[in-house]
Amino acid sequence: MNEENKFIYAEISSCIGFNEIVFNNVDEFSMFAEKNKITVILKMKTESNLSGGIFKKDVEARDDFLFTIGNTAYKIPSIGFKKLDDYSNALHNKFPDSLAFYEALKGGFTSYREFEESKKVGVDEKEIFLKAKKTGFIEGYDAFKKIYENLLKEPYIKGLDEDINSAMKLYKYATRKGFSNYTIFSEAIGNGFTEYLVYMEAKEKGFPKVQDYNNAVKTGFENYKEYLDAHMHAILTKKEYNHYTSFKKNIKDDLGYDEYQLIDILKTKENGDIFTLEKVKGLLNEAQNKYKRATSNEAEGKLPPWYRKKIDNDEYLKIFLTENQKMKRIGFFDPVKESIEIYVLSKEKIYIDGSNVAYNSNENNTHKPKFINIKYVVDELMSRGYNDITIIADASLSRASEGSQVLKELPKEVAYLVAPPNVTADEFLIENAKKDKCLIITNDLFRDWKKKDKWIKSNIDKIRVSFLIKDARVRLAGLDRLESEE
Amino acid sequence: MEITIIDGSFENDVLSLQGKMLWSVAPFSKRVNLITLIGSYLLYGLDHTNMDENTKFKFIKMAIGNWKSSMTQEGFERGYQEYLRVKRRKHKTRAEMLFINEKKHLLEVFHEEMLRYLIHIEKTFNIEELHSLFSLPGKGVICMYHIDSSDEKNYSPNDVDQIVTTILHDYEIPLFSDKVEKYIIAGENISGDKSGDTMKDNKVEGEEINVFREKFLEFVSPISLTYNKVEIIRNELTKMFAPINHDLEAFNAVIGDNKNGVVGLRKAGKLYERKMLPLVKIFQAAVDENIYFQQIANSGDEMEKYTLYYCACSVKDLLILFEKVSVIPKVTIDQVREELTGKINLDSTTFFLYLKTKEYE
Repeated sequence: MNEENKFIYAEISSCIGFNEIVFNNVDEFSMFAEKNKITVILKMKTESNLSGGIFKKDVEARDDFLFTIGNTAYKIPSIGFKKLDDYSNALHNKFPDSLAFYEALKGGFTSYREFEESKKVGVDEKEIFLKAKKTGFIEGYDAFKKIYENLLKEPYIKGLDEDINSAMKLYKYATRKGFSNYTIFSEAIGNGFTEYLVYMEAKEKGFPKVQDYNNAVKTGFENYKEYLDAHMHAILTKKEYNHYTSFKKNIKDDLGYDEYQLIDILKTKENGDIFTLEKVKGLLNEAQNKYKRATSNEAEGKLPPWYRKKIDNDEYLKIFLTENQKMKRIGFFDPVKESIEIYVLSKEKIYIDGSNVAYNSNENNTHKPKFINIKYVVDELMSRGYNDITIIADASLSRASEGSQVLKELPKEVAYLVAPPNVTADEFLIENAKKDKCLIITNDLFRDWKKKDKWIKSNIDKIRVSFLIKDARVRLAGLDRLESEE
Repeated sequence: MEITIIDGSFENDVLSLQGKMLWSVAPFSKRVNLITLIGSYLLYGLDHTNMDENTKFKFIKMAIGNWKSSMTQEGFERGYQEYLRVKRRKHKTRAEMLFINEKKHLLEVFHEEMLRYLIHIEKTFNIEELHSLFSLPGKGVICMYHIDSSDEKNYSPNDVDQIVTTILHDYEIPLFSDKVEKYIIAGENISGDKSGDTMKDNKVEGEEINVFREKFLEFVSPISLTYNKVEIIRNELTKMFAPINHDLEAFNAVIGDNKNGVVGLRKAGKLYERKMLPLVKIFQAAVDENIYFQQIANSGDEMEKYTLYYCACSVKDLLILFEKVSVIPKVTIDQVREELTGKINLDSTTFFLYLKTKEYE
């Protein structure tokens, strides 16, 4: 078809008086003309009912290609072909008629088989047909057709055209949506994705299905694993999930999230502040607001199901405030006043029961008190980071003890106080330790004081640290426990 | 509609604001013209392989002023001029050859520093995710231009040209930061938005400009979007924004013929309500429903809320905003005024957008 035109064509309207020789084969007709050095082929113009003089196969041909030599006109019916080359090409490429041939030519088709195939899939341009074929859309269309109706019914599939009734339309649709081949397209559409970029983004983040991807993205999630975990725990958004994972990370035991929050709130309060039960509940409620989900009928919102709530009533709250080990380190709950006093023990200041330590009470006060015992305890406390140490003792201690020189060698961070004349050393010690929120190093159980004073009865054991001095070495088991709990 | 961001500030802290302004319009604008410090850096990154020594020098000199380097702009310029002078000599001594090599090496060191700083900027403001949209002037989505602006005595023909073009084109609309609120008084608006009241606090007295102002779009800061998501959002939103583009250009053209003033602004407001507001509302709904904006909002990360305001004022007043808000030297603005006189009526109505950011709740 691309062969250069061999002949010039001229139209004529009559040809009378010649002998006629009619050829049956166009190639033979052309060859004969060439051999006779014919350059101009005449074309008899006749009237036709068809536009452009193109005839359908079955219509009787009434115009001819012809040339003359001498008195003889050599003819062949044109059957609608404009040129001999076209006629020949159509014949060799198995076109049934000139109509099909010229129609195919418009779309760039040279083979009738390709042209027929493209017509079936709705393509009228060869270039597009070849691209659609190469990218698998022609072949894939049949498979797509089988699922198309169902895809259209899926409510979660957005943006799927409703008139994809040929491979060509499928190809045009898919390429418009960014897909370059049918394999990826079918994989994407099978999972509900209609946009290539969205599919690739979802695939990269591990989302197989469009429903999951859309839900996850809308709710703030970036990857499938987190989304599934959230879904499993009935968590609605990534923001909620962040809260949930933060609780999980910070709470190693079975503490309720409300208990954890309460500890978190109260530990930031000023030492000495007192909060009633109602105030405590108010503080907790306020802190919980950031986790509450808005509901249409409740003004305040509701805690989500994943929030591990343990404080259900006042009784539970009282028990928690009184008995929870972490709470004990934050404050003292007064069951009578139903209030909690923030009492965070100082990490720098500490009191030493001078007499008790000097006697090293394990030895049952049978020996003379030794100031060196106090020195051992001071050294141990300083090595643990206490830098404000107060020793409180009876006035009589210095008279009874051995090694008073030690007192003079104590570092400047250590104060040695003697109880005022009208106050016992125990009373002076407890009052000061209570006021300054400090621990007391003593093996005294203060049994008498527990009978006399309610606060001491409830709380003295929380601030009392017992000791053991042996071979110049000090053990402070209570401090070890407190440090390990922090 | 093309958005044009012109800002002549050269302080380091404007980079963040310029980055936000770019991000505020990148998801839906047909084109963004970036004539700012950040634009200059990005342009350098994009085009340095094609730049001659003189152009590189111009960019590096600008950056030196911005870096708190021990080298001053004046010192750098003196050194460069000396280098050019020696380089032009026909018969160079050995010492001169050494001098030239030394200066060339210095230029190369600064060039590397420019590229390092550019990477830093891109990372800091997540601008690297917009990289595929960057282009040289007039070619792609985000077009970078160099900003001169700093000369207080001589006007910059480059800056004059940029501002004149922006004003003369109906399809170009300048975007300012919310510093603009110091200088404007917004009349009644359609939506009954009261945020105008909060503007009173920081007013520069005696310099207020009457404007018609309406909330245009509101969305969570898209600054955390990845490249893929920007592409996906742009695919959807630029198509949706097309009718607004078209009508906004027509609206600007119609209103632009009106003389500015109370009547002109009121007329602009009414026409905006009738013609533009329904379209803007549809677009706002599309933005609200976009899953990626929802993703940012629900991510739990700290973020900002962006509000774009659409304003109308006179050309004359817009020039004041370019001077005060965009920090363009008066000498350049005077030249712009001169070039516009005769081409358009300076009292006619023109438009601008401004971005207000606040913490997202």
